[in-house]
Amino acid sequence: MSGPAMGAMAVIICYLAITLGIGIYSGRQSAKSSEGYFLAARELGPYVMFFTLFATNISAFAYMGAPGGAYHLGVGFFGYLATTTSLAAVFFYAIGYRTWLLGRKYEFMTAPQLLGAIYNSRGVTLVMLLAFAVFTVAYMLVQPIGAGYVINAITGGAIPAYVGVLMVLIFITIYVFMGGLKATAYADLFQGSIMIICVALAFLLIVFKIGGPTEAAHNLMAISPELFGRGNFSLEQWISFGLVIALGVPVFPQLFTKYLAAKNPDSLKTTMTLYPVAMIVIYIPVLFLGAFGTLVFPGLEGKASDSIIPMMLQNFYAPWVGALVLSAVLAAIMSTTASQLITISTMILKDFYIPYVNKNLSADKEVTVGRVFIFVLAILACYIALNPPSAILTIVTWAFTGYAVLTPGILAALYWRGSTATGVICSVLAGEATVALFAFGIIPASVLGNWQACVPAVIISTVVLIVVSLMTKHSPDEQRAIDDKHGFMDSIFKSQNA
Amino acid sequence: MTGKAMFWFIMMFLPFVLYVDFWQWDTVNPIVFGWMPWHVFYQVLLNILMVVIFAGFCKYHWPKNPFND
Repeated sequence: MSGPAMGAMAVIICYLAITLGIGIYSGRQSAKSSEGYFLAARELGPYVMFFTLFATNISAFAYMGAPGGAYHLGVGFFGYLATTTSLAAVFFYAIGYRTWLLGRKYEFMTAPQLLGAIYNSRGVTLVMLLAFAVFTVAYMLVQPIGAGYVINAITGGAIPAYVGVLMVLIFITIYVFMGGLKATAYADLFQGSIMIICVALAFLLIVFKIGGPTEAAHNLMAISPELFGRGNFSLEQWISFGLVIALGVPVFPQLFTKYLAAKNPDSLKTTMTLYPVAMIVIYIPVLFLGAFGTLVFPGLEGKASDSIIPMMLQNFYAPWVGALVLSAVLAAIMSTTASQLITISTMILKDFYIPYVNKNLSADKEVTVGRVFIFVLAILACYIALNPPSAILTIVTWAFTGYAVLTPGILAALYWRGSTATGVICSVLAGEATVALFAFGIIPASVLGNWQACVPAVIISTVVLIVVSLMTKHSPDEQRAIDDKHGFMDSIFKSQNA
Repeated sequence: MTGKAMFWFIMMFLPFVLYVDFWQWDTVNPIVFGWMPWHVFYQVLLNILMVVIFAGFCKYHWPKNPFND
């Protein structure tokens, strides 16, 4: 291995070791109880909550796909990505607060468990579990692939991509395995900070080398003025994408875990208020760097532009500088993967294993069984990352749309007493069936023109929810459960409107 | 729905409407700070508006914590 590659490697190892240390240290007390391990004892304070939610939501796409998109389509991507994600923060109140209230009172630990309990329906729990699991497992399994490519690129090919995948997965698995959600959240606090600092650093370092932002913008407008406009976007795409992100992001199951783990409402309030600031801080630098990349490396085609930031850093600076800055990409990948890992294992344990496989599992054994699921999922992630099947990649491509169609059913469960378990189940099935028809090309995307499949899918899931709920009646048990949960929420929200 | 609740509902919905800025779709100028096209700056302002709305909502309309912690 060459000297520069050794320097880059040292930076990566340091970064991974610090993350591991923070995770293990912060989570050392959490494994004593099930709630402590899976929900950080419901003690996540405002700033930890903000950083863990932010770090969980920002994936490698922000540092690779987004600048790559801006390289081809221009800085108009900002509204497309940042504003839509900020809009999702409205649901940190609309969904997050009610989830927190119900979780705190009834000690729910997962989203499917909570939604099923509102209707006293195992069917709702199972359908939600299945929908969450399909998209989240697929999403989680492919994230480490990105980490492998990044480490390979940073070290100039000295470390093969598969070794990078294994390194990242081993580090993540150790701290999630040992410390559960608390370890994940505190590691996210560090990783979220790294993501913000490094992206600002990358912007300053690169823009300095190309004459400053004003000169770079002037040069860009002279050669590619279309990258400063929005001619590459249509209004239909703009609205469709807004719908996918604003409805899909707030119902990620890993976000539900964070809602349930909040110490008090202040955690959600702080996160909601700061979230749009974080989107500005992340997306302005990466998107302008992506567009400015055409000045340094013109003519890149397709996915080659996804590496535009690493390419520019390597072009101007020593590999260890690139490694330092690109720690942000690893942070984004690791934080998202770790949160998904703990959330999926909690859902499998609480919503499937305990109700259907081992009803008599003692509370003190839950952590042990949860750790087994974490270990098995990590092994699966290793296998899939090294041999990614095309079906998994298709599911990931459609994950946001798959989540978005769950939102009508989730909002109905939290707000509409007249909704029924059958209505919610049919809504999810109809919405996901619509997504599958488009995803596998059974209905060609061309029938939608510039609209995206999420628009008909969300409309269908909403219409089915309303029609089926109006056509079906609550069973006595279902009615009692709805009266109980909604009665509790109504007693709180009445004071709000007084 | 009370007037206060309606006010906050409209305020929370407003950014969704303002996001679809079809009336200035091709407006690049003025170039703010010498490098940021107007439509991007508009979206930045919209994000800042959301911060203000969310802060106001949290302060004035978020229900009391029933668990007193």
